[in-house]
Amino acid sequence: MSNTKIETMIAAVTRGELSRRDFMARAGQLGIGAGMANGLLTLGASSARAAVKRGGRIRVATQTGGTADSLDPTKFLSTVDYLRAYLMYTPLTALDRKSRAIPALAESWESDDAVNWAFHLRKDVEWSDGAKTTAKDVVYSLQRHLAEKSESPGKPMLEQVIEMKADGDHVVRMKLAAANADLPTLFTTPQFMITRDGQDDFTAPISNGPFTLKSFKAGVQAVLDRNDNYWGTPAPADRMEVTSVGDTTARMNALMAGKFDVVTGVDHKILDLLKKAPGVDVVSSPSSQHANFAMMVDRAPTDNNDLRLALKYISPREKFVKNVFKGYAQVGNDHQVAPTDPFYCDEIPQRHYDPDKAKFHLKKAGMAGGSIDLYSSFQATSGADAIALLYKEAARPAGLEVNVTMVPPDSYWTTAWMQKAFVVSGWNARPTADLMLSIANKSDGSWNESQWKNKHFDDLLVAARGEIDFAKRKAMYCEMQKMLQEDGGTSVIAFYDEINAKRSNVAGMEPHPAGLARNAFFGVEVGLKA
Amino acid sequence: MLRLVVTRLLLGLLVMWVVSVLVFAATEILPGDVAQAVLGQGITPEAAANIRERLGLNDPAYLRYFDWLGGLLSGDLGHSLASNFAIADEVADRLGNTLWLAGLAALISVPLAVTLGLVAAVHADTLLDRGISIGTLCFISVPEFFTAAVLVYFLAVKLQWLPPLAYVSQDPALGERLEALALPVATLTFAVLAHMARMTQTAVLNVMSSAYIEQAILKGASRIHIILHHALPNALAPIINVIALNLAYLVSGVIVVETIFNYPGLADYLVQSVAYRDIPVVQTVGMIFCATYVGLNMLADILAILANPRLRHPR
Repeated sequence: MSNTKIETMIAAVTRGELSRRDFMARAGQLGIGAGMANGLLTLGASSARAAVKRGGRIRVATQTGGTADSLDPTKFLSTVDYLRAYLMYTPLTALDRKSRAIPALAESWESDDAVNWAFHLRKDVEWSDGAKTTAKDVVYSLQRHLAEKSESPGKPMLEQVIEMKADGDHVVRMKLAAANADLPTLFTTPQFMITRDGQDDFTAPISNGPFTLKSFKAGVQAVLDRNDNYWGTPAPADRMEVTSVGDTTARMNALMAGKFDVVTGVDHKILDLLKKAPGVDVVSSPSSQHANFAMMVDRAPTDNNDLRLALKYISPREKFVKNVFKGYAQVGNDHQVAPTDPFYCDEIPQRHYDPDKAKFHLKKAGMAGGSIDLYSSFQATSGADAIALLYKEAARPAGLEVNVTMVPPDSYWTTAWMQKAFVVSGWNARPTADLMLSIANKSDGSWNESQWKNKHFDDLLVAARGEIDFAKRKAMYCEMQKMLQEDGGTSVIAFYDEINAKRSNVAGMEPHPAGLARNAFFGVEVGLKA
Repeated sequence: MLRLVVTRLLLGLLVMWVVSVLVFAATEILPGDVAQAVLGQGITPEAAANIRERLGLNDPAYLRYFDWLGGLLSGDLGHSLASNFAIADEVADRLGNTLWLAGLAALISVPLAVTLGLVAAVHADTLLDRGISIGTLCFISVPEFFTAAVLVYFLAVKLQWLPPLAYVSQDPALGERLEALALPVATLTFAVLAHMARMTQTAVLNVMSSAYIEQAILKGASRIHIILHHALPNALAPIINVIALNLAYLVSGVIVVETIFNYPGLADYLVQSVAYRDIPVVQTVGMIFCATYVGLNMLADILAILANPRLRHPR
């Protein structure tokens, strides 16, 4: 329990709400000596803010956006929805730059057993209709995901909360089905934004974020003005315009011509060109988003682990990082925990491209000189087309013939992914190792793309989730990562950076491992240079 | 004449009905449905089932088709499956955008094309004629995204004379709208010039071998006079048909230009809706495009008849 109290205090200092002196005083009360308390503070210190001026307008262009865009958190599905959400609403918790949960609407939280939790809400957060944000709002908005007719993709993640009630105006008590030390991090998921008690129709949303929505046209543009009644650090910009420009060339041209100040979704192929363009800067941020191959273990030919190992050894990882991601990526080691995650196990030896080992395993699998079908699509992941072709070439020295089929993007997720034995796939960043591993590898998970089912792994997942001791927890995650690497159906190619771009007169756009769209600080940090 | 118009109208309605059935069937055959398209990789069986329940997608196909048809005939265009917004509002918005783009492009390209065609006809077999022929052929052979890319690179990024995206705020001033549409209109003009110009030239030159032209030459009329006063009026029918075809294309076929310039028009709406499997929208926009083709074709035929005195006053 004292662990989480210290963490919330560190976070409060980082956000400038608790002075160093107060921190030391309180740390002393908890029995922590002065020297150690000082060390704890520097752990949480974020990078210095560049000097931004107050005023002006920031125009953002995103690569996602369509007529299904929504202002209703239960319908958030794309990054433009997330970006807009952090500008308009206040989440219960937010992710700091070390991927840890820090206070937002909830100013502190506690739990003795990681099963029963109490979240203490700030008392100074006001909605745009004048009312104060209370525990009732939290309970109502979260319960919307669990409703029977809910169409929310977040429902499976929230089902572990079996009891949720408001205890007075400013305390929310939750009881979980099983221990989960990561519960505060779960609420950094954009779908779990807190909205107004009673609001189900979002044509005129009531908001309490750093900006207020002025106009919204789904799939086209949203205009937001600074909310001067905001509880936190006021945003530098007077106005934010978020426009959807799906065509990458059009988006980059518009940035270079000065029509936008910030753009997302910079393609690796044009990185060099963009870096040379005058007045434009590239901002890259290591992330846990990754590209991978998915091999289904419940059907031929990938049900044979020797074949899976062969396919993993054939993967030319370093080449992918260099050619497809232009160096803006970190090599994957066939499990989904990224080097940016505190639970990343660096003891596991890094697997490399090894056609000889691949040949050995192919022979054992009886597939020497054989062939296999690989399915890919432009929508599968960043660089999916190049990945499939490079892999085909890399497979030749091992004597394996790879037949590549490019599937049309709008039917990929229904006809190829989780249907064909061997496909190219990719995952967006997830805030915790537990979430990522559960979503993709749990035996009964609906997104278990490899259909790999391992009881010991499932048990470890549950045990690690409820384990509060960091070292013990890390050891469990290490074991899980090893199991995946040796037996699993996922060959992770690389964790590629998120790359965005901005005009040179824009400042305050610091990298964040959650990505720009999930960076809770973006709206309150970005502005024009002073 | 009246009988002709009524017959054509009825035939047009029949064509539109057949097209509506074909479009519906084609979209149904595509794998996946709107629940899968909207939820994408984030799909859970429960969320998908709830979406299907809410949108009535569990009803059999023919029932859903007749539901839609009934709605259309009673004036209710329904709601988009992906966004739940009223289709009528969204379509009206985008139709306005499309008409502005198509209208401006037509206003510039049609007179320009006909003039070029006539110039080529007047100076047949000279360098000017060859030049116009080859030039317009080059423009039509180059894909629109290439023309657009070249125009945007020089005029928008390097010189910064014009905006690279055709975005306008709500209720823009005329000047702002013209500036935003300048590059898309230029791209489209290059794309449609060749067809109309070459047809004009060919139709006029075809007529030049008639007896009355020979008479005019013998009478000593200048070439320009002959072409403008004697040949052109008789060659109008095929020219009008080609213009009608290109106008219909400007309304329905300009998806590449709309994507590159991020212009929210009807073609972009249609493509997005097919990707989302948003059937009511696909049907509605499909009907609009079909009506455009049918209507413009009918108009072309009527004008062709009116232009020919022998057909205007049948004996």
